[in-house]
Amino acid sequence: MIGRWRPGRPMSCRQVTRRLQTYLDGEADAATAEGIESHVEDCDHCGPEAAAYWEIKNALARQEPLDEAAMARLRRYGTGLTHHREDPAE
Amino acid sequence: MSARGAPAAGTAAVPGAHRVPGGVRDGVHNTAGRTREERHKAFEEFVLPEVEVLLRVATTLTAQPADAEDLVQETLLRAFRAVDRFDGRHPRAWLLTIMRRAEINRHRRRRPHLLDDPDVDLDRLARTAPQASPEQLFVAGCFDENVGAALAALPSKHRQVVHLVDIAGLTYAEAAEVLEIPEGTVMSRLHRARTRVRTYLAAAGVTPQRRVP
Repeated sequence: MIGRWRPGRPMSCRQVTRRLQTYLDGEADAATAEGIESHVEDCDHCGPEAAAYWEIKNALARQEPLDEAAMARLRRYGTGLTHHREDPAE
Repeated sequence: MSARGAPAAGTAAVPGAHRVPGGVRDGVHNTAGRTREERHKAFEEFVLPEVEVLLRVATTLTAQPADAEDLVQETLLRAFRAVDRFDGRHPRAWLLTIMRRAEINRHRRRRPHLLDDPDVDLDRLARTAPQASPEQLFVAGCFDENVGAALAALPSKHRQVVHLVDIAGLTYAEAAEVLEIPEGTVMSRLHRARTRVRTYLAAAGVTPQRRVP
């Protein structure tokens, strides 16, 4: 367990820093997320930190556009498996 | 807990998922007691929506785009053959397990001795990953390009988890399953990767746009 924090109590900057990345990934539980959001709203240090890592995460997500032609071929292949008269597994 | 990675709302076990001992095998029914139509419906419901994620993950596991496409195709075929044994829960995790096994078998067929080196995927990724050129380092005012250069400069193990979590959209648990490492390792590599990206950007004189999440 990273750091000591009880749900319902305000978080310190240190506690937020330890949990921030997990929160940005949507992996924090509801109580933790709420604690982080409450702190980030009013903290001049953690607010910008959260915003900076949020932008980095989003920019990383944009790094590799999907190969649409490959996607189309694979979707056709998958759909084709269900349209065979004879089951390929048989 | 976050809903990401959780089963889709309303998902239930596929009708007819129970096995029927001595079931009739004819043109309609299979030995698992499920009709061909039910199998196809299960495949369309649970597998086809995951094709994009499978392609992104396959791109991380293989060296060439053609290999990634072949791997996804093989995964789809294996999933089609196994869907009558799938209970409808956690389709993405089920498919990623299939893909992982398919990739291991691909290595075994082509170069058996590579199975002795568990880091072979990581080594190959490191050799084929694009390297940041000097020109990429100081592209003024283009945040995404600088992030791309920072990503290319990451150690291969960090770059791999960024690909799986930030780009392919896997949960920590799913990425851990694909890479066969603990979830805690996924978290620490990912967090270190982002810190490195931030340090890289700072050195390049680039700052993120300040927008609240």
